[in-house]
Order: sequence, then C-alpha cells, then structure tokens
Amino acid sequence: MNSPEPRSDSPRISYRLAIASTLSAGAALLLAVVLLIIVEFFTLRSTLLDETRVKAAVIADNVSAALVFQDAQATGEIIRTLRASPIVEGAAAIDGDGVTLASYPQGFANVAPDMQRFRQEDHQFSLQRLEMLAPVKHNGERIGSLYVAVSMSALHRQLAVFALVSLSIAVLAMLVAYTLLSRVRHSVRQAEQKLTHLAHVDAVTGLSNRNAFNERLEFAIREAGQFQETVAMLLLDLDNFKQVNDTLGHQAGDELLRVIGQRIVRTLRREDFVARLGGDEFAVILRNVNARSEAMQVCTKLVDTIALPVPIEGHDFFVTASIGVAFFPDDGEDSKTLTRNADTAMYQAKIAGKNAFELFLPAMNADVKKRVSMETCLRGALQNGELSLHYQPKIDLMSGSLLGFEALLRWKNGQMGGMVSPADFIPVAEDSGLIVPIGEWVIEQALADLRRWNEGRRKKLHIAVNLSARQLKVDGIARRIAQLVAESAVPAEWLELELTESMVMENVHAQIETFQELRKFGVRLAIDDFGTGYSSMSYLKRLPIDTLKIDRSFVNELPKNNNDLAIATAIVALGHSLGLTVVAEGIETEAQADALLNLGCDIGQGYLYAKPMPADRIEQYLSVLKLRP
Amino acid sequence: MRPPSRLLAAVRLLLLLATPSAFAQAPEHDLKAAFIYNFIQFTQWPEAAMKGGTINLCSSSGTLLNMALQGIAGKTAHGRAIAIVPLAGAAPGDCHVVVATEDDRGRAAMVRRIAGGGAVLSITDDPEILREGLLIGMALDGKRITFTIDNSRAAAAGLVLSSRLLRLARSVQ
Repeated sequence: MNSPEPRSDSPRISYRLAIASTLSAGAALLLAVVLLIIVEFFTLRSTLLDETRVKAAVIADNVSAALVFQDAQATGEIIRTLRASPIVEGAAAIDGDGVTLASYPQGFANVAPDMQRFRQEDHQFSLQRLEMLAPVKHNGERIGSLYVAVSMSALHRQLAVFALVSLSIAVLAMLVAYTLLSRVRHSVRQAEQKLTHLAHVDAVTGLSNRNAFNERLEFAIREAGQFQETVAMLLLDLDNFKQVNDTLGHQAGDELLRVIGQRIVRTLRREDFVARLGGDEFAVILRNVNARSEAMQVCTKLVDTIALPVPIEGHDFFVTASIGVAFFPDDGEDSKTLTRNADTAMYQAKIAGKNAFELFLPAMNADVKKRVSMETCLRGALQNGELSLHYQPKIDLMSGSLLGFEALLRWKNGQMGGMVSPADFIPVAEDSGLIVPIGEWVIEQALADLRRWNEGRRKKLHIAVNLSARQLKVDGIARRIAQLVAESAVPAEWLELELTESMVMENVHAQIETFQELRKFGVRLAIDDFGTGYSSMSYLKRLPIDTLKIDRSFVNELPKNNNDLAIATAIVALGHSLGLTVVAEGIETEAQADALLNLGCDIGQGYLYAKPMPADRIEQYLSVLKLRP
Repeated sequence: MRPPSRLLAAVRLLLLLATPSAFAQAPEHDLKAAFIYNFIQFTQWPEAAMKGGTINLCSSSGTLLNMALQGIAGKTAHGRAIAIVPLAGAAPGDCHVVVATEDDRGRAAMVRRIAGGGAVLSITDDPEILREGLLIGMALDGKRITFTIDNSRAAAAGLVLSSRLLRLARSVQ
C-alpha cells in the first residue's frame, strides 16, 4: 500500500527506447558493412585487374617471338601456361591482322570480332568475367594482342566470404554492445530506483514522504476524475507530540512517530495510502470512497487507535490526533485546494478541542478568514486602546458587603462591528500568542485601577484576573507576574488569579511548580468553573489554592433543581473541608442567593448584585456604597 | 605514341609476309628470307662488332635464296639497315650474318672461315653445310619451316640469341 510512486509506464518506454537505439545502431552498422563490401569489391577488382595485367604482360612478352614466327604450336604452348591460374577461363593470341593464332581451351570463343570493345581501355568488366587485351610487342612495335578472360567467380566468392565475416563481426559487435548497454542501463535504472526511493520515502517512519504524497494525490485525483469516483484526503496532526519530543528527546519522538505510523497503516485498507508530511503531520488518501460516512468511520478508528497508550522506554505515552477531511471533487478539484481545505478542517478539529476529526465545510473557510482578520485587528488592539476592562463586584453573601471585583476583558473594534465577544476573540488571542501581552496588560490595568479604588479604604478590596492556558506555559510566568505586581506597588494578596479546572488538571504535575511559586510570591489562586472538569482529589489536596468557584451552570436552576443543589452542596462541603473559600457566580435571583447562603457558600457574584461595569462606573458604584449605612 | 608512318608501313609489310596465308602461298625462299630477318631481330651482337651503320648479310650471289634476301635489304633491325653483301668478296670481319645454301657446299672452307671470324650469325638451310659448325639450321617440315640452334657455339662467338627464339627452335645445343 505504500509503494512510493504510482507505477508509470516508464519501463515500457525505456524498453522501446532500447529497441529503437539498437535498431538504429544496427542500421548504421549495416550501412557501414555495405559500404565496406563496396569498397572491398572495388579493391578486389582492382587487385584482380593488376594481377591479370601482369600475367598478360608476362605471357605477351613470352609469346612475341612465337607470334613473329607465326608458330601456332609454340604460341599455344606459351599461352597454355596460364592454366596454372585457375581463375583464367581462357586466352588467345591474336596476330596483327586480328587472326587468332592459338587459343585455349579448345573451342574458346573467337574474340576477334569484339576487339572494338577494347579501344578505350585494355580491359572490360562484366558480371561473370574480366576480359583483357594485352599488346604483344616486338622491338617496340605492336605485332599482335593477347586476349585473356578471367572468371569473376573467385572474386565473388571472396566478396561473399568478406560480407559474411563482416556481417558476423557486426552482429557480434551489436550483441556485445547490447549486452554492455543493457548492463549499464540496468545499473542506471537501479541507481534511479534508489534515488526515487530516497526521494519518496520518509527516513523516520519508512512511510512515503511529502513528495510521494503530492504525486500520489495528483494521480488519485486524475484517476478519480476519469472514473467519477470520490477521494477522501485526511490530514492528521498529533496534538501533543511536541511535549513528548521536548521531554523525552528526538529519539523517543521518532519512535513515537514510527508507532503511530504503523497504527495508521494497520487501520487502513490495503489500497489506501499513508504519508508523513513532516513534523507530526500525516496524510492519508482514501480512494474510491462511496460515502462520507465511510471516511468518517476511518477517522473514528484512527482517532481511537492513536489515542491508545504508546509504550516507550518503559512508560506509556498518550498522544491524540486531530484530523481534517476534504473530499474530491466536492471540496476541491485540485490537490492544492484539497490540501488547503483538509488543513482548514484539521484546524477546526483542533479548535473544537482536539482528539477529534472534522469534515471540511465551505463555512470553515469563512471562519478561517474571520479568524485571520480578527487576528490582524487584535494585533493593533492594545496600541489603539481598543481593549478595556469591565469589573463585576464580588459580594460577601453573609454580610452583603463588597469584597472585590473580577476583571473581565472587553474589546471594541469598528472593523469587527463594535463589541467583540470574548468567546470569539480569546481563542484567537490564545492561538496567536497575543494573549501573553494582552494578559500582562490586564494585570497591570486591573492592579492600577484597584490601587486607585483602595486608596483611603479601610477594608481593602481584591481583584480576580483570569489566566489562560497559553499564559501559563510561558517560561517564568510566576516571576513575571510577581514583577508586574511589584511594579504596580500593591500587595500581592490583592491579586487573585483564576484558572479553569480543565486547564489546571490537563498537565497538573508540570504546573504545580508554577502554582507553588506564585503562591510563594503571595498571589492567591482560584479554580474557576469548578465541577465541569475532572478533578483529581489527590491533586486538589496538594495544589496551593485558596478559592473554588462553582460553575454558573450549577447556580442557574437553584434552588429548584435537586441535582444542582446536591452538587453545589458537595462543592461547598469539599471546599470548606480543604480550607478553601467557595465562590458562586451567575447569581441572578434572591432565591439563588438564599439557597447558596444556606449551603454555606462564602462569596457571590452576579447580576443580582451588579453587572460587570467599566472602571469609571465603578468609582460611582463605590461612592454610592459609601453613602449606604 | 604513334610510330612514324614509314615504320608502320614496313611493319605492315612484314606482318603481311608473316600471315599464314602469305606463308601458304609464299615461295619457300621468301619464307626463309623472312625467317632470317626474324633471326637477326632476336639476336644481339656485341657492341664492338657493330662498327658500321649497317648490318651486313653475306650471301652468295645468284642463289634463289640470295634473290629472296634482296627483299629484306634495307629493312632495319636494331636501328640499322640490313645490307646484302656478296659472300665471294667478303673477308672475315666484314659480315654480321652469313647465309649459306646448298650451292655453297664448294665454298665450305670459306664459309667456315668467315662464319668463324668473331660474332657472326651463321645460317644455312643445308644440313651438310650445317655440319661445318654453323649456328642456325633451317629445314622444311611439310609446309612449315623449323630450325635448330647451336647456342653454345653462338655464345662462344659472343652472340646472344633471345630466349624467345630458342624456345621456338626444334633443338638447341
């Protein structure tokens, strides 16, 4: 399933190329052989001509006296010496009048009528024979001619042998060259395959890499487009891989990636495709998906399998995955769009709380756009003074007196359409890291306001500020907060930091040190939204906290809802048994306040007492309070 | 290179003489004269012997052969014209060629003397005179003329007879 590249038809092409190059080499060799044969033919013919001319000249010289004396017998004897040469077909001595004096063999054609043919040259070539007419001279005078006919058959035989040998050599050379070439080709192909392998395989997990993934996705899209099939593209990101990598080192991180990679592979069908794109990002291609539910089933299985503990170096590690899914052709017609949309869906899965999957929806793009523009606006919010704090009073339920405020962040931006809900912009601030400077500004501003309000007050008020998870991860956050408190020139115990229950419990042993440090500086700590998360009682006991805040969901239906009443009762009892102050928020009616007071809850906060107010209204609120008895 | 027309004419004449048809009709003595001319052509004299401008052929006047030999007088061989000289008045050293016939049997001693005087090509058609030690002897074999050559004697006389000629001889000593 993870053969890196889609099988192309390149081997067939290279085979055809090899055939073509061999054929052309063969044609060139054949042409060379033909040319050689032609050259050889003319060389052989020229040699034959020279030899025949020499032979004829020798005989012509010998026969001159016999011709002078008209001695036919002697003439015949002399020319018959040519019989020693098997290629000579026959010869004749012709006297000055063109009469044949002697010839051999018997009945050899009388050539006299043909003597005209030798006017231009002393020889004539035909297909079968070479004919030569050599002059017979005596004392410088031509007294006759010697006619010699030489068979060409020997030359033809030589030529045939030459052609055969040349062709054999050519064929042999071709074979040798072909063998060498194919050997070279083979090693080149091997090298290419190795390079392809290197270029397409992720070294850590042995899965395909981003390169191979891109190719495979293109291929899958092309094929699905032809057959009207649906392709699902899954983008999978491990949620807390960085922690493992940071705490255990890269080797353990690599091992974790390998294990996760194998789990993904085992979860899928054979024809599906997995790649590691880099970092903690994996991608899966599901081809020929019949229904969206099919992809969802795969996602569910993946999320569940990945969440299982991973044993590394004797410890069990937990990682979770967020998966984004985009479908071809519904969510994108090309690989780029598809990848981008799968990424958007994955991002949504992360926002939705991780360890989950999301199918891409076109609205997500709008969400993402909104988030991006919100982030851009938020960057300028601090400088432009668009941020402000509202304060909600906290009341002693028993006495009804004011104890302090909870500071709540507000953002007003014209581009975003006025007031922006904290539920919308706080996650953006967290993701972008803007929460860190903003959080510091909140503490500074709140402490500055509080200092002003506490001036001349006998009973000093305190202020509660919410701290986000992202802020808690900043290195040396405790010292930074202590520094801010010191710069504000207020006692540290005026400041209470509120942390949500889920935030505290998520990584409790990593944060316990930070809490202890903060506590050492004198800052008070509160657990917000208590009852909604999963608290470990043993941790709760060890945490240096001062306050528990009952979540507003349990206050809403008090006192009628018995379940809520039971929970509220339990939380108050638990808080008090641990020596903590218990706060109830979201109190809107006297009945709720009475019920909570009856339970023994210490502090109340809600519309019944006061809505959150901007700082200038607080001054007014305080002055009104003073007038009261 | 074309030979001069006069020379061409001479060759033509010779070739005419040499044709078999010519042989068939030519009188015996004309044929013998043609042979004698050919013998001269295939013989080389030492340079010292060729003092004059002619090749002197000594033959007894009045014989049929002598009359036939007149036909080759003036022809050239080795770049020299052939001159027919009467044998009777000749002294040793005068003749390059001596031709003796049956009629010269009475002058055998003289023939012997002149023939033995240095580089002289001696030719006869008479077997009896041939026995006097002449170099070439001609004989009639039916209609063909054959000849014998005493090459060792020729060599002793300082003459070089062409191997081509020797090969045509019926016998060579």
